Amino acid sequence: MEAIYNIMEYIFPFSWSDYTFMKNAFLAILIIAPLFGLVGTMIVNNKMAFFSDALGHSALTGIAIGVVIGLKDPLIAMIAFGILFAYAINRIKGNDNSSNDTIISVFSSTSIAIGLALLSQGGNFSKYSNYLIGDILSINQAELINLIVVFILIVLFWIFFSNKLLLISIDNTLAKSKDVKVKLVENLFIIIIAILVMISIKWVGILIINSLLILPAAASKNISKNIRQYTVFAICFSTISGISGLILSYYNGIATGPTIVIVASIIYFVTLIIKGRR
Amino acid sequence: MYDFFASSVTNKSIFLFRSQTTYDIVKGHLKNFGADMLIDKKLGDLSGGELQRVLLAFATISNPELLILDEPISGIDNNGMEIFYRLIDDLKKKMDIAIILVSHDFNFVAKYADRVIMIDKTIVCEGSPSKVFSNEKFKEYFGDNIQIGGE
Repeated sequence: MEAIYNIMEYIFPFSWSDYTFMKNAFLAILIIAPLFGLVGTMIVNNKMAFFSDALGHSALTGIAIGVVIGLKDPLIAMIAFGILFAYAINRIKGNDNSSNDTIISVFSSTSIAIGLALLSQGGNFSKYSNYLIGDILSINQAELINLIVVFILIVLFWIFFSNKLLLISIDNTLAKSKDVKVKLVENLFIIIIAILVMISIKWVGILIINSLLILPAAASKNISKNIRQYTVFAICFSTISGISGLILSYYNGIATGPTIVIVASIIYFVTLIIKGRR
Repeated sequence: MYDFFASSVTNKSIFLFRSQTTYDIVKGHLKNFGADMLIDKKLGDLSGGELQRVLLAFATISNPELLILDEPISGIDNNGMEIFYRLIDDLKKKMDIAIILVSHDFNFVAKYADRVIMIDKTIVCEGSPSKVFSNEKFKEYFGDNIQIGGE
């Protein structure tokens, strides 16, 4: 770890690289931002933006459950609840003929309400308001290791399943006709989203986590001609906004999460203009 | 378009690299359907007729033995219909695929089908096109003065 820190101080001779917490945050963003870009591409393709938004909000209930059963770090409870939540939505979506956004909305508001109710018990909600906007500067080395594990997991998933996800995003029946196990791949994908969202919420914040998933991919979609450009641009946009957001927030004293999202949305609007000119 | 085909043809992750071999296979296959020049277009930018040909190419790229088409030419102009049926006929001859096609277009059925089955809840009559179209029951359903196969 020391070696990495030294290298970073050498590459970045600025005042921010003197602080260990800034170096940790920098590394964390370097790991997590590309993942958001990558996973975001298929969320946008599969029209799951609202779904991932709801999933982010459901973290409140996950945190609450973790607190109620007395966990020191509610992450496990958040991931478990997130997976359950995502699976439940996916299940009901297939069986019920109400429109998808209605179902997602119902689940989302229910879980926000339960989370808020449990966490506000005894007037202590302010203790958890960190989760709303997140704090990437609080990340420590053990958590960095967790991120690396998630990184490997998601990259492996992508290597094996991205072709199938692409087919599903075009049409379910079409994918089935090519022997793709649609349900299985979909369920694995929502588990991947749930893990990524839950593990990042502490640092990015419930309120804005979805923008990090959607904005880079949406921006990339505006200007890319094929799946390779789409993926590469999404990863670049996401990483650029992550890093520049972190550094801008350091010099201006603003929370990091919102700064990252502001940069990402600027990129989005620029690509929108480029697309309009073509 | 290439991505769409490649994702079903190869197991290699197409978000990482574009394989020239796969590209050539896909392009060669699309050529049979007069759609090879569409390979670099986006799927969403194709016209109705183009999309139909592309989907037919997609369905046959894995060399199936049986192709089932349910009213495949709905929403295509007369010219496009002729092209589409000729394509299917080609497929039958070149790739040796059995094709079941549901249609209400008797002229095309008369021209291209080997065997016709008329169905109304159950099989009403079956046989060669000329046999079915001259059948009494067929005339009962559709009237006497229907003109088939004007050529």
